[in-house]
This record gives sequence, C-alpha cells and structure tokens, in this order.
Amino acid sequence: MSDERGVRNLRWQPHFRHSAGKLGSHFIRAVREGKLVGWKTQSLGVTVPPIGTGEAGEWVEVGPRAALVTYAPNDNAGGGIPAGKFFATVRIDGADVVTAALVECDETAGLTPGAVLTAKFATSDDAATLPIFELVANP
Amino acid sequence: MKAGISGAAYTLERQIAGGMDAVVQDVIRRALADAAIQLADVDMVITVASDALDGMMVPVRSDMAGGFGKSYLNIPSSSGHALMAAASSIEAGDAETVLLVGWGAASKLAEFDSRTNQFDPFYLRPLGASVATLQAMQEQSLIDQGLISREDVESHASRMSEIIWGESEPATFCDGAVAIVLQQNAAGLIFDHIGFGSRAQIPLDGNLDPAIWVEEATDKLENPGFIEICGQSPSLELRALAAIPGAKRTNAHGGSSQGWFGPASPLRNLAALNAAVGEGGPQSGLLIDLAGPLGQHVTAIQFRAGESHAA
Repeated sequence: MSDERGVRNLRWQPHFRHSAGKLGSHFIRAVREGKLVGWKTQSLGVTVPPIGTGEAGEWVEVGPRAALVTYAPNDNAGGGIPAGKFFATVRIDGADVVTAALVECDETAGLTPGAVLTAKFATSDDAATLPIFELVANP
Repeated sequence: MKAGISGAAYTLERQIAGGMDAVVQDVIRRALADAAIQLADVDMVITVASDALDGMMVPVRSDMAGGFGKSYLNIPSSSGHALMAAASSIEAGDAETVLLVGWGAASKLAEFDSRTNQFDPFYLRPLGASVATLQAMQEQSLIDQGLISREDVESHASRMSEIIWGESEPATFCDGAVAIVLQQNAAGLIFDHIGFGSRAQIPLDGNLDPAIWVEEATDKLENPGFIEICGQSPSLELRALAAIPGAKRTNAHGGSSQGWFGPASPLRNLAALNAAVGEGGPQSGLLIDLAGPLGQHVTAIQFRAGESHAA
C-alpha cells in the first residue's frame, strides 16, 4: 500500500534453511536423542557446542550435569528472555570451555556461581539446539 | 613520523531532530576550520558508522563525510580501529591528511531493535542473547566475584552523566557526530603508541573481566597519569579503570557509556580531550576504547600534547 509520499510499505519474511555444518549437525542430532556431546581437540580441549579448529578431533560424551558460571538477571537484560528462564554461562561436566545456555529457575537466589545444574532435554523435533538447564535440588 | 590531531569538532545531543547528514557536514566544516585547511587538502577519508539501520550504504557514508574522489575506508567496528587505520596511513606515508568522521543516531535506532546494532558492530553473540543480556551477565559476574558493586556502578554512571549532560540521571542512547583531522606534525594530540587486543564472542574460559583485556593491551605502555576509558556500559568502564593502577585523573570527559551514539562515541572523547589539552589540560595520557558488547575489543591510545598544545 502506498502512502501520500509515494512510499510503499512492504513486509518481507524470508525463510532460511541452512546446514549446521558437519560438527553442528552431529551435535544437534545428539541433543534430539537426549545426549550432550563435546568435540575434543588438542588446542581447545572439549568444546560444547563443538568448535571446529581445523584440527583432528573426537566426540566425547559430556554432562548432563553442569555448574553455573554466571547469569544475566532478567530485570536488567533488556527483555527477550522468557519468564522463569535466565540467560547464563555454564560449565558442562567434561567440557573445557563455558557454554551459553538458558537456565530454568523460579527465583535467582539459587543462581550462585558453581550451583549444580542438570540438562533438561526437549522432546519436540523443533527443539532448540541446546537443552535448558535446571537447578539440582540436592546435588 | 607520528600522526596527530590538527583539528576536531563534535556535536552530542540527547536527540538530534531531522537527518544526520547536515550535522555530519557541520562537524566536518568546523574540524577543517579548526585545522585551518579545506576539504580539498584532505587525501583520505575514514568513517566510523556501523549503524546498519540508518540504511546508509558505504558510498552514501563516504559522500556524507566528504570522501568523494578521495581514498576512502569505512571502519564499522570501533573508533580505536578507525584511529589505528588513520594513524597507520599517515605513518606509512600513504596519506598526509586524513579526515576521520564518525556519527550515530542511537536515540532513534538502537532501542528499535533488540539486536541493538549501534552497540555491537561485531554481531558475535550466542543465539538469543541481546547486547543488554550480555552486559547484564557481565555485570552480575563482576559483582559475584566482588570486583564491583551495584552501588559503585550507579555512582560511576551518575558521575559520568553529570560530566556529559550536567545532570546525574543515567542516560540512555543519544545522537552525535564527530570529525577529526589527522596529519603529520600536527599541533594537537600526537599518538605515540596504539595497542590493541580482541576476543571474539564470549571468552571460552567464561571470564568476563574487562580489566584483564585492558591489561593485555596496555602492558607495554608507561603509566600515563591521565586516563579516559570509553565503554558501552558503566560497569565495564568502572572495572576497566581498575586495570590501570595509579591513575590520578580518570574519565574527565565522561567516558562513553552515558553518551553512547554508536561505535564512533569514543571519538567524541578524543575530540574533547584534544580541546582540553589545548587549554592547558593533561599533556599526556591514555584513551582506551572498549568496543563490542562486553568491551572485549580493546584499543589503547597513548597520546601527548603536540607543539602548539604543549603547556
């Protein structure tokens, strides 16, 4: 539709499909099967999600437990994070680097550095590429 | 031959009405007049404007900044990177006079889109994380480690806002434009050394402390005495200041977090610093540009007063 200045307002909603790559595809398939895997290389150790460095590497099973590194309080995080979830970095058991992930939690009191978490896998085919983590009540 | 500033001008407002082109051209005219040269004397133009949402393609940016028919470079990442490119061109003899121009209309554009392009020219963020999310996480991490407190951050933000706007109310995004003329044998600030360090995405070790990154970029520099640290959030600026022990005067021009109009914001501090040195202010010091959502792209610019600025 044109307005009086001769400007046309159009909506463009392109859809994209693209490969997650050799490592990424393997990782996503594993998550859909309820497993967490890391890619182990000499230079970076075990990375989750996998980081390709050009070196040879091997898959190793990691998690499902993890430790909280830090999180973003939602009142200061600019919106966009669903209620009851927090954007965080976690160190998954067996991984050598941190992983950015969502942590599910009713209140922030339990979100202290080092808090024990466990992965909660979604069951849908459209599930995210990473599980959500939740606090372990009695680690 | 070291590069230095021979003329500079800037405009900073909470919100600039109308388009940016007239504002950009005004600061260019004033900077050229300050350097006592004309646009025809400029042989290279460099712009800092990563605001993809302004819809300005690189050729348009060039034309806005007076780059038609001249060597031209658009550096969308940071003021520090653009200054490095300008200084390198002069020191290598590729250009005698460089016009460095930066602008941004963050008040209109930055909060329009949660990606806040004005904040993050690098676009290196975990899926789903906005710039604000990452900065909130960095602040929480620094608080958890006992490196800063929320009260200290609020106090720093108020102090910076007071310097920039004359009122302590913490600021949101604003609009601004800066033009700086660089030449050999410049009369204003001379750049003795420019150090830098960069990290992509969230550091793999999970450590979000900007003081570590600043230490890496400044370890070869002498204690400068005067320091201006320009970051995108007050917590990051505050913590980065801790990396330079013994600094006596810090952020006399308010840093950048409370006067943020995009990656070009630290150029405003540089222009203000150049004017202050000319008026008998600090004769040497260090300006640190912390670009990227976490400030993980550090440029440390060591300066001293040029001949006409020397007290």
